[in-house]
Amino acid sequence: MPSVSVLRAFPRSLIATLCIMAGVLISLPFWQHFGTLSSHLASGNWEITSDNEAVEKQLALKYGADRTGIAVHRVASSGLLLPVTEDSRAATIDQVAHLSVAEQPALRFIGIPLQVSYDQLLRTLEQISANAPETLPKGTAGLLKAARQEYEGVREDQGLDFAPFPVTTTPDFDVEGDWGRKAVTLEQNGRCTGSVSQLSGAETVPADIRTFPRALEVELERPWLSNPLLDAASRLPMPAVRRFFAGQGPTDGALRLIPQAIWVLETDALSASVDGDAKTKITSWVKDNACCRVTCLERSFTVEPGTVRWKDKTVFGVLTSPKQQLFAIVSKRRGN
Amino acid sequence: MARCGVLGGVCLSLLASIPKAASSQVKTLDEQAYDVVWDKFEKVLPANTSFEQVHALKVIVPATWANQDEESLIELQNMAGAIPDEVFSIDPGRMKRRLHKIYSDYVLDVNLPDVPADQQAKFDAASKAYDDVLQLYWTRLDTYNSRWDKYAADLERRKEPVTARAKLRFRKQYGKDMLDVQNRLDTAARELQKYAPAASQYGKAVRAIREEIAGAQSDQVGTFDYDGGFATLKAIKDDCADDGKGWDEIALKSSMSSQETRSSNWNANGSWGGSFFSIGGGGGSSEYSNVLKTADQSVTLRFCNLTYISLGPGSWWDADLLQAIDRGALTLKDTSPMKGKRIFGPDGQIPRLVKGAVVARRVVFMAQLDETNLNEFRKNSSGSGGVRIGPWSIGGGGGSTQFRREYNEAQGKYGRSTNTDVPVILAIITEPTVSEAPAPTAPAQ
Repeated sequence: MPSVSVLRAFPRSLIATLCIMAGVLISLPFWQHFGTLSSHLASGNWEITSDNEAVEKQLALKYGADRTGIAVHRVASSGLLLPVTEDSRAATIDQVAHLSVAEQPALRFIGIPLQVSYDQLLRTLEQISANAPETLPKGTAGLLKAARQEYEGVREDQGLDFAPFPVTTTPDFDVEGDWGRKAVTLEQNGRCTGSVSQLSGAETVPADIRTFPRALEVELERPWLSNPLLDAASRLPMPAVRRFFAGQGPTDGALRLIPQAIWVLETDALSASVDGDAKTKITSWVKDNACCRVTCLERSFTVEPGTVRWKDKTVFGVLTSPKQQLFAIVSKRRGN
Repeated sequence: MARCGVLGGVCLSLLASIPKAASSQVKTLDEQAYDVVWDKFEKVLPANTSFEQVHALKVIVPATWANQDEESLIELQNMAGAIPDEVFSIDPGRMKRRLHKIYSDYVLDVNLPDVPADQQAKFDAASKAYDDVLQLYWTRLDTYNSRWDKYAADLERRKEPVTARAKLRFRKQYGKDMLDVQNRLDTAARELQKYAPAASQYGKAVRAIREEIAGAQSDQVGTFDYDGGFATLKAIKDDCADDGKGWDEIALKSSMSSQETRSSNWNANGSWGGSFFSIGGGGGSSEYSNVLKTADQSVTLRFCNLTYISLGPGSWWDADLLQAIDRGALTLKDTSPMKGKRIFGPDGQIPRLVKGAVVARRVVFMAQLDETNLNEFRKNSSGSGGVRIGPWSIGGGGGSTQFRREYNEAQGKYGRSTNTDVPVILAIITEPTVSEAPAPTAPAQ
């Protein structure tokens, strides 16, 4: 579980700005942190980051430094249990996709089901549309009608196979092995002088071993939730609508942060460079279904046999453990 | 609520001092240590739980009902069916009343009102209409499902995966007939609700508790159905390897940076406040700075798969019916011992309900202290004296502790771990009830 290493602050007031400046001046040379401070000022939210540099870099590449429009919550620091192994990920997807997230640094779900809050928003807009249609921007009524139809179409349970408010993902969460195949291999995060051995441990060859984290962005899709309507509603000035997008409150803000994607850490990839006739030995182990155990310092892992590939004298493969982990939940932020 | 790291440490202590003058007081290390434990718990609680109270258990107990055998279900009933005092206690002497017993006492004594003939006629017509639509619904659902079976079989023949996406495609294509009948069913249900006399609505609740009582009598052990967070307990049944993943950790050291104020909804079963540690025999307390004296000393708490489970009454529970009794919409028989006694609210028979628990698969305490303190820790945690770290006791208490696994490590370290085959409960979450009864009027002067 990656440890939480940094807390970043977004100062919303002059006091906060001055306080952070004071903190920077006291703790470290000012110029050393000026760039970081600037990005804090623009970031738009508090964010707890992890010590997994390769994945953090990937998140930065994908979402940039300006996080005003999204919130990224690392799961490891939340204390929540959200397994994404193949046999349990359906339940986790179901949970994450049917709840919204509270506007705070640590990941906390708001207890009201997303479909309930969304229905309340639709009702509020329908009331405004009936009583004061001139207050709504052009096109909102059409969006609202379509959104209601989509919502009603999946509102009911239709037998065991057809739960209400279904969720799909890209890539599909329910195609065996698909996430593993589509995960992106990131920059090296570990290296050691270790060994590769037969599964039985009978024979061992020395190797220069490197490990690489593999990550995957999985988009959440809710056919019953209209993103264009939510975008339009979040810009409306009426208090009855604004409360859905407010920052805090027991019932307010229930549509402010809606999870749009999750980042999953798949099992690490590794490369092992070997010398001499070790390649021949390992190749024969693969052929005999006896490949392979990799030992780095005092820890050892097994390699998924079907993933073994060679390039010159370096063997590449994917480890069988530890299990997949949910690394982060990315939510779209609406409202000021 | 947030705290700063290296950069922001100064800022939040200042910001925290702005709203309340009192919060600018510097907290003691003991108080800060309690805060760190609270922070760790708060992370696993559902958001927006501002009315609940978190009661750390002095003696950690196993969630035995994870095994779902008859004996352990009684323990669930005792825990989830407790009527908590302001400070929750698992002491059997303080848990004489049970939720299902009080509920039965009220519900079985309720006077269900007579129904006028015209209202009964409207209700009967609405019932018939509902039954007709329901019949149509089942017929359509059969057709729909058999169509899906063919659709799925075709997908498999073409070697396409049967995924949530495929189900959605099918639903869009063939769901219109179902949507139509579902809407008619909704309308019929609303009509039924509209004309249903109170006797019929609440009669269901009476029947439900009667069936539950009959079931409890027939199972020989008298268990009522309670929600025990079974799915979550199953999900965390595998233990964490000591050097593996799944651990949440609190490292208590000689200096701490926590400066936040806490809300008052935090109880610790009689152990809250005062010294965070008690490692001397005979229950004597030890001030934080006397236990952790130098930067290289620490006490670490580790929680494997720390998470929240919901606890509460099963499907027999109907809070609406109790509220109807409380506000006088339904009356109790004159002979009822509960007549005139308010149910919900601070003065009611059910002032609070158990809502959930913070659980972990395993808990480890590891101490790296000077020789004197470490020897005391070792001696008392394994003996009858006992040790306390924050709200939790280790050892002592006649051998009832769950911390039965010992870690003797080099370099002045000693630790203990729970050693159960099911997760353990660290804290119980309770919530106050609110009565819909009109407030009592003040007597005239």
